[in-house]
Amino acid sequence: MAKTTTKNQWKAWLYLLPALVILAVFTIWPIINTVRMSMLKNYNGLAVVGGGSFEFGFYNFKHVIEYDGFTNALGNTLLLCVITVPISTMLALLIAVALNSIKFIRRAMQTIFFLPYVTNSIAIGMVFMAMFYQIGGSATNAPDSVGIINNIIEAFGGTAINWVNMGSSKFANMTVLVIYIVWNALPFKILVLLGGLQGVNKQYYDAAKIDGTSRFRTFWRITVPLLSPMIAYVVITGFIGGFKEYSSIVGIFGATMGPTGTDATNNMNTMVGYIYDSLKENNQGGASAAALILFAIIFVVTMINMYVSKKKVHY
Amino acid sequence: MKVVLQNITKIFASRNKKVKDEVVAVNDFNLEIPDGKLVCLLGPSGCGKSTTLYMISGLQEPSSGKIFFGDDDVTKLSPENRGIGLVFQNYALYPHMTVQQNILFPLQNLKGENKLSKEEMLTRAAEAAKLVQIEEYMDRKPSELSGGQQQRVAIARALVKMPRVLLLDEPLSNLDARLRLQTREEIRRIQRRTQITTIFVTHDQEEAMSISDYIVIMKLGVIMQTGKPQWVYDDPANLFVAKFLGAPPINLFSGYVSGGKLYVGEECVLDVGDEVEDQAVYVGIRPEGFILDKNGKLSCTLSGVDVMGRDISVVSTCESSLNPVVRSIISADEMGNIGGETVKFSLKKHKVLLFNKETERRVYFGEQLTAHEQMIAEMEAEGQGYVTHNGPLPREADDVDKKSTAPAPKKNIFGRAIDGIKGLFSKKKTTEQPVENAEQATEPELPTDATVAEQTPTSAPIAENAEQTETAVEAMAPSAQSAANEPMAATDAAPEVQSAPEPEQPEQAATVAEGEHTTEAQPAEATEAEAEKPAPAKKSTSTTTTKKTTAAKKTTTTAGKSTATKKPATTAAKKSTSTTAKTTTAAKKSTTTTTTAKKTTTTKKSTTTAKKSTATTKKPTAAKTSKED
Repeated sequence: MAKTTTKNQWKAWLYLLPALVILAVFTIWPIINTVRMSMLKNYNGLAVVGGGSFEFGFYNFKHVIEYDGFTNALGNTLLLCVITVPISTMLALLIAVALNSIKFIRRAMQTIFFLPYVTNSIAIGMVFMAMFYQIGGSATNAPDSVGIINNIIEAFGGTAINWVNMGSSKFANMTVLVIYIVWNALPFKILVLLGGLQGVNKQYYDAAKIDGTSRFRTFWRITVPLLSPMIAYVVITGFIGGFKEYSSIVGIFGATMGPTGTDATNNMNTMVGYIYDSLKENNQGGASAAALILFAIIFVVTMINMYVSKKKVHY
Repeated sequence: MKVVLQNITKIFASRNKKVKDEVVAVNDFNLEIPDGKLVCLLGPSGCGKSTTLYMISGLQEPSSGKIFFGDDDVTKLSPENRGIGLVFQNYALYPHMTVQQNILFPLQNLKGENKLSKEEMLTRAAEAAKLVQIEEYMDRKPSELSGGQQQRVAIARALVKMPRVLLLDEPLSNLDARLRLQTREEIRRIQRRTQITTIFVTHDQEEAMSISDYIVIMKLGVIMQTGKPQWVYDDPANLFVAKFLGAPPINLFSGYVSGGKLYVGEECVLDVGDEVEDQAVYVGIRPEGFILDKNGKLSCTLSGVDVMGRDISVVSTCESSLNPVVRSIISADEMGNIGGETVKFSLKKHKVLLFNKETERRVYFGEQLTAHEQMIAEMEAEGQGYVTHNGPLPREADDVDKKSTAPAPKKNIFGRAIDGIKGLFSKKKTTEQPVENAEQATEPELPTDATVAEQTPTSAPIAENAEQTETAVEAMAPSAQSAANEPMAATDAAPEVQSAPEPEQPEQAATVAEGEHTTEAQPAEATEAEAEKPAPAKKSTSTTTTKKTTAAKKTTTTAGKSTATKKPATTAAKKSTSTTAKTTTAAKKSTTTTTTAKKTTTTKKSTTTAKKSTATTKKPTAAKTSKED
């Protein structure tokens, strides 16, 4: 008996081997290596810069946390997450409910809402940049070169705002970024929520109708609780995606990660952006440390999400 | 609160807009449900009972007709304003709320002057919970309750707002046998306690019989009969009702009445009295209607005995039986009297039900008629009108029609394109199509006529006569004869033939595809001949034959006269609307259908046997439940 089990186990491991090898080489080793690198001072990935022996310690973490560029990126990332995730989730929920209640052009609408998901985010980012663009000191001087958003604002009698160009305020930059990220995050969330909605038994709504439940109450007391597993999923993935935000900023602001002429503290850089920057500067240690910090943050936030959803989500 | 349904009709449009095959789920439904009673809508699945319930609830709007609660017309009222409680088939309890929250939910919706304080709500919820005995589960989620408990929570939620009418949509179908028994008692108890008018939908005849004050038996959207369960069981108005009620089901035999005597096979089994006209009949005998008797006239081949304790069920086979086995229930004391391979029965007169073979309507004989009249009188005394279906009995062959009218399913894109092109060129053809359909539809009924002709000696000469006349008349001959045998029905029919086409719904008349429906719907008593078996072709002829019933009688003797009567027949056919035009052409085609007739007989038989097998499988559960009782 015991013999057969060991034999079976041996076979099982054999079958798992290819997957395990790939996992070990491309996932487990990189994680371990990241931890190792984050502990090495002045390490460039191959050797210690300027020769000398390896020096272990928390130097990189200390350096990263004290560096303005990093704290700015961290702040930007957190802010983006906190703003965009709730907004996009709410919007997605409303759109999904609306889509679910129409029959006529649902398929067409579904396609339209799903388009951003299949489009390259850098390309869309550049389109956004063009939409919000403005050349010259003020829009009034050179109205022809003003982007469509400013044109619309002016058409309604407002004054053009410097959204993304040199000298623009951080608030304006953030607004553009939030709009972009929300818009970009919608399709996936709509898809998930719509799927969830279609799985909800119609009889709950019939029952609510017979009890004379108002639409608002039906939404909050029936739709949202019954959709809560999907909502939790969407929020968790939304936060994780938000913390990894990078390409949208590149798309809108270019590789400088902010309007030209801004300093490190007034920069729209994010955590992932900072990690890339560090790698570019051959600061593998710093990049690793920042990556681990990002990992820790995502881990904690997801834990919180899971904890909350356990209490609130009805499966 | 009295609930009155007036000429309720519900038509579901087809999903595919290009194909006009609407489904008439409920057809001209008239019913009055007295205050404080528990009424069951009973019928096979797809007969429109749930649709009727949803129309009463307001979740679905009737296509035409009116609904009254008491004296208020609620037809246009939205569900929440009707004051109803609805219990869904799968309860629809909100899974994320506790039992208490579920019960409170309807109360929390109340607005304005009806708004309750929190304490009031809690006391009302507690009362409702107490009524259905779920007080100790108030903090549980529905998923933590058993099916029966969920069911009771659903009833409590429906009752808590004190509805005027309580509606239950197959509330017991998700429960196991034991729980079902328990819960139906519970429902009965709650209903008696609260005195709320309750409408209960079920397809389980036993369930319906056991708890309801009145049952309404439906088939294909039409009321077949209403009444107290025992009455309907004892005195079914037609074959469908007789077959539907009763477990074990009624035993059916093919027989005929001749000279006041009832024959099954070659044996005269019962004296039915001279007042019964000679005709071919279905003989329905309830299982408890058999008496073991060595001198009995009905002899069957014994195939087994099921012991059920108090009673025994004798299973035997009989040549004339339309069921695979004859099941008779006799007292266990008689066990010793069963011996040998053949068992002989004499029959209890009041348990023998005769149905005309053409109309499938009840043929009363002897004391049955007085009992029937007495029942109607009692019903009227109770303020419950006697309702049976007076038009032609709906047939089950609808699916056959659909198949023929619906386009061939899922052709590839080229096939569809070709069809489309063909369609452009053959617009005219579409008008002819129904005739083909009609022809197909006629097939199943012909065999029965043939068998009737063979079995009933009296009808044989008619068939011969018919051959000499027109083919259409030939097909009709047996039914003509039967109509002749039933002068009452015939006279009733005559005026209806004329008037029927006018009240027809315009949309039905308009669409060609619906051609058959129209003919089916219009028709008078005589057309019932076709009852289950669709046949516009026959119908036209049958209507004509009824018109000249007296003439038809004479045809039985002389062939020459039948040709003479042919003329008025065709003129009558012309009179009745455009549909008859179609039907006459269909009638001509019936010659070809006779060849296919044989085929269909076999298929028909197989379907009946299939039905029977389901009936027999039902039996063990029935036996079980009775034991539990």
